[in-house]
Amino acid sequence: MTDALIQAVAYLFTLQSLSYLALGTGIGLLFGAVPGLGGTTALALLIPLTFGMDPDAAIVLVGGIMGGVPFGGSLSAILLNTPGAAPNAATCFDGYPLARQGKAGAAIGAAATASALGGLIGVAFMLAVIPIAKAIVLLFGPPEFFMLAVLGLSAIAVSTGGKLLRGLISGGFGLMLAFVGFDEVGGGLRYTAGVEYLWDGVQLVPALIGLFAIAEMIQLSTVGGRVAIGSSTERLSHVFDGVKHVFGNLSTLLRGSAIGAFVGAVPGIGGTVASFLSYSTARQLSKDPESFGQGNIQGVIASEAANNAKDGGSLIPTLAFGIPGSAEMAVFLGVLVLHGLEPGPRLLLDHEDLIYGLIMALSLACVMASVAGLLLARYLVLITRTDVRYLAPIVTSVALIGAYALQSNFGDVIAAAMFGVIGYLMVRYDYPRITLVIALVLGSIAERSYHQSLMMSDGSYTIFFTRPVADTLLALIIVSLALPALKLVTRKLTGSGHGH
Amino acid sequence: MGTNGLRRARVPILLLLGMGGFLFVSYGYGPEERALPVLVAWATIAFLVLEILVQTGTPIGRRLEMLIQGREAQFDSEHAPIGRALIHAVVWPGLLVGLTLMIGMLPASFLYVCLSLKVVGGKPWPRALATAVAVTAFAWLLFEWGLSYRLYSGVLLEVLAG
Amino acid sequence: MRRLTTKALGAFGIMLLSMTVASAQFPEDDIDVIIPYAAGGGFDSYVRGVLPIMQKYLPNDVNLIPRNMPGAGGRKGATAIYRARPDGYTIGAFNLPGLMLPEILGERVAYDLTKVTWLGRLSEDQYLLVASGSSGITSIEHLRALGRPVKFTATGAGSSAHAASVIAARMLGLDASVITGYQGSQAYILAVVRGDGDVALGASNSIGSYLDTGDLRVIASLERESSFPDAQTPAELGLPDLSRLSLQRMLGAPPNLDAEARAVLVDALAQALADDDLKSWSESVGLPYAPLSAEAARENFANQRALYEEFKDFL
Repeated sequence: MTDALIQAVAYLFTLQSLSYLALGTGIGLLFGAVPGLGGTTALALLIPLTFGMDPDAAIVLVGGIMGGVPFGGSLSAILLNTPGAAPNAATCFDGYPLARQGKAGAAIGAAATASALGGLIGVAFMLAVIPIAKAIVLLFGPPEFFMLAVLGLSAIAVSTGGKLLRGLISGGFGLMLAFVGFDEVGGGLRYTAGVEYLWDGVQLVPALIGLFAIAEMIQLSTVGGRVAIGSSTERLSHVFDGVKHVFGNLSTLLRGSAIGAFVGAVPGIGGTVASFLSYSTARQLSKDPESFGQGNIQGVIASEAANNAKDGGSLIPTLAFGIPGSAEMAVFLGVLVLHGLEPGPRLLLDHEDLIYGLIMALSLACVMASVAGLLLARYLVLITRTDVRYLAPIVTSVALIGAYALQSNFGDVIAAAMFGVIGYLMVRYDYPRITLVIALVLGSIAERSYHQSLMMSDGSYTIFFTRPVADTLLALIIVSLALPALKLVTRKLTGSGHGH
Repeated sequence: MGTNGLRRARVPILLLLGMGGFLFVSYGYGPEERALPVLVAWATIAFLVLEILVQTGTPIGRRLEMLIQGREAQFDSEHAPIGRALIHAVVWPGLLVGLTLMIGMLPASFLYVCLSLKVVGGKPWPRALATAVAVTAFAWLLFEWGLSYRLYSGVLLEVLAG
Repeated sequence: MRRLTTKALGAFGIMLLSMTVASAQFPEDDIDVIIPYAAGGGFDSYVRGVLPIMQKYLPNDVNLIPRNMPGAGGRKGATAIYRARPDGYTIGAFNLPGLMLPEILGERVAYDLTKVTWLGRLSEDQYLLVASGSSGITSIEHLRALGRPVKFTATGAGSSAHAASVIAARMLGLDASVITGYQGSQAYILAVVRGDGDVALGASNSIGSYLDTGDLRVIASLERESSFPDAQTPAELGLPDLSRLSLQRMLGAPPNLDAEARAVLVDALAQALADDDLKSWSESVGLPYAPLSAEAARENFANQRALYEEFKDFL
């Protein structure tokens, strides 16, 4: 192990690989930040380019991209309330309110620091877990996936603040949208109303672009002004305030990273659930939960740490079993296969040096992306001071091009525009958009694993309650739903005590 | 509850109708295909009924609100008048989508940015043109040149090309 | 008026003439190759691997440009290939039986594979029947004696793996049910390791590493020539038809493809599939090609279609 590690480090610090890494990180940041692009597109486009490279160089380039993308997505989440990908959405919760208050610099500073540290912790976690990776992955079968999806949904519903009921309603509608399209278990088409575009279901990326980027531009256009309200002229020092906040909230950082790395290792849902679970845990454990969603920097730290730590975690199922944790990982698998690396239990043994090279590249890229973010922060915050009348048409047209670029499908453009209207109406009538998005992400996984579980048990529901991991997850679901009520009761008791 | 209460509850009532329609369609599918959709639809309908009770401001609704969310109901905050909002939410994005469909992505982006800056933003022509050129150039550089994407070229071009 | 008609006819004639001249020099321009699946998948790798080599054998120094068009389980891309102009500038890859099954199962699809112009076959993955190493299942007899329906794991209903599982179970006389909906072959193979189901049909390249660790055991081989000496083969089981079940990747073009273009493309593909560079690349990355000529690919399609037609009532 140490030999391979030293070899990997030695290779990484050559001029060639450092420049590949920087190139990858830059591409990752750009693709992460432009709504609609994201890591999947970046990797898919670079596949032909890596064709002629030797495996080491290709892996360094890919590691750079994967390290740069999450933080790129956070930048647009903070500045424009536009998550680059679903896991970035949790950063919007408090990052964007901070930007509205004119504290985008601090939010970027905190996000950059939390991302870099979270990414490093995630990688450390992955190294520690490799020996027992197989056991972990084998623990999660369909019943566990179902419980995890439900846990993700409930954790998010309770983190919508004082809007639990409306959060649940949005979630219901999100699930409704998730059921549209080809039913993988039954093999039939549902709810498509004869529209061919809907065969593949409601697409997540156009929905995200519409609900966040376009809806935000509509909302800003109707009120005018700029993203940052108030006259506070921000100095660079605020960026370092953000950095300092991270070190002041080390427990939030560590907890977020641990949740990210662990949940990220569960294929399929890991990434998205991880950042939300981390966010809602931070909120639940906070002494001042009401301030979350209003621009509490802890919310940014918790979601960012988990968002970057998840990559280390999600490499485990990808490398060890060839089961991609996300669309991005699926493309990454393609890169591996094209270079003759067959994913599976033996990959870790046969190509130790390459794997360590990837891990080192990934961690260095996280740090590089964050440093770049810190350096650019003072210029990036200018976006929040730009007149909305410039910002709105530019962001809208680039976002629609991004929606098209994803699959070269004009239907995605129309979908993004329609979700823009839906998103605006949700803002206007105060329904949380985030539970809708998460339901859209988790809906098909929940349904698929529900049916698979029942096929495993020949139709008996006991399968959900007789497996230890599923039981543990069920207990967590109950706790996450009951905790707000319990807090309320205790507060009422103490409150009425004061009253008398 | 009065007309004011009904007015506040109009959104959940509309959503209730929508979810009812979804439920109706669901019962047209086989038992396995509709199992989870039906479950979700009924649960959401229950939440919507609660929300309607809360929004109409009945005593039951208030107590519910305290029980579920731990605080008094918050009623819809004020926004720009719906007419002006609709122009920004539907007319302008609709224009962009329509233009894109007809003349393709890059020309449509150019026209849209330019027109939007001039008409909504009230900016002078030179500045509107310059911004539109910059945006189109960025999109062209990134997608067509850098990534060799073929951006949508519009129906008109296809018709003209036969 | 008459002069105008004459003129129009004249112009039409010139156009026709210029078209024949153009096709004599096929290809004049880059050729789009539609891949109806996402970038980075196994299917994508096979196609992308052969394109740069096939390009060498095309006249006029043109490029073959891969265009991924995923969606609706490949139907979207297949439709795009089918509807393209048959001038040879749009060709594409097809998955058999995956793209044939919706049609056979009575779904209305916008393409007709029987009319596609086949250019040749790239690869064929034959199946192995595997069970978990810790399950105690070692033979077909074991499965028959379980006393309950055998549980297969597979991708979605209507997919190649699902159809193959159902048909293999029928041929073997097994009472079986299929747990469907896994996302890809690696996922349903892992599901057997985990114990979600009893057995699965996997291609040898997706199960290789689990055999070494003992997580999986080969119960029977559905290959024409078994790559596992101990495993029972279709011939030994007295069921040679089992070996017709496989996963194939073919290159094709729109119906009524221009004859000149067809000749050029078929020839270039045949030369590419026999090329030493392709062979060494394919070996180094572990993606085995199983070439068939255009003619053989057409027969192979008819053979496959007949097989799945025969069993369509059970699917």
